[in-house]
Amino acid sequence: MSESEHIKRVLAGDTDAFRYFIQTYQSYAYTLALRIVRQPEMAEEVVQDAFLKAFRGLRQFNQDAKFSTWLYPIVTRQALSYVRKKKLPTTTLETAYAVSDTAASAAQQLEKTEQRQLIEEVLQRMKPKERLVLQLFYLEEQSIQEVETITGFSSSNVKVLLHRARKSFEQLLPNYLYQNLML
Amino acid sequence: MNLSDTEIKRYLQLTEPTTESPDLEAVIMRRIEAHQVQQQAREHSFRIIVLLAIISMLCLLLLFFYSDVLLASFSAILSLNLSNYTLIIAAFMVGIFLFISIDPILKSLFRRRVQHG
Repeated sequence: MSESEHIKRVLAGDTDAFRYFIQTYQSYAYTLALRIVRQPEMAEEVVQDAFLKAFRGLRQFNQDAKFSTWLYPIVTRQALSYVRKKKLPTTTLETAYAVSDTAASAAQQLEKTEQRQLIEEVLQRMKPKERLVLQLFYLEEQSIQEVETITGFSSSNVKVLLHRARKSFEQLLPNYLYQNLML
Repeated sequence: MNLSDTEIKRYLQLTEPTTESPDLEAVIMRRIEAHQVQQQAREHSFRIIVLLAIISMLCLLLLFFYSDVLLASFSAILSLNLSNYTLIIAAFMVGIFLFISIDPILKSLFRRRVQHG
């Protein structure tokens, strides 16, 4: 059964038909939410709210498009609004530098897990939108157009965000980590 | 510091979560069902309010235009004048007819809201 047939069934009152969309898209929706909020419990909440919103607004969905093009921007917006509302930690470049300088003294003994934690810190300090675009583009190897579809941002916005993200990632990345990380 | 695309990717790979995403199907479906119940309750109370408003409006109109007849029929009830009971019964029938005809219209109007918020 195609996606549009499932949508027709949901719109006709068969709520159970919505399970198909949850089963198909929940995994990536969770990954996407986690990339923005960085906390598993919060990512779960974001995914739940996003699916509920998608269900409530299903009548407005253009059935010729793929459901993911409707759902993923909802997840992105929901996660960004969670970050704003709950004021998840993001720090300025200056603060970040202060932290990285202190940590630099122990630079020689970095283990893989520590490196992971430091990169995690760097990502945590980046702006959520920039972090998301950076991860989608470099880690998931999505094209600019695909990033647009997933996030719902405009093409120019994605390009600007990507440029800024790259810049702040390079600035925030502690020098010692850059030198010691085995690439 | 200038990083190449591959370097950025390698750095980012370090933070990739290893845990699988949880199964949220049951929770989401429960929330959808709860949302529908809530919407249905809202729709019910809204329909009742609309019906009451229509009935009150009709009563006011009746009072305004047919106050004499109404007064006569009330006094007829009190004095048990059977010939005026016809009017009362007719009024009840009109009321029931209005209820039967308006309620499904209101129901279908709000069905979309019930299913999709």
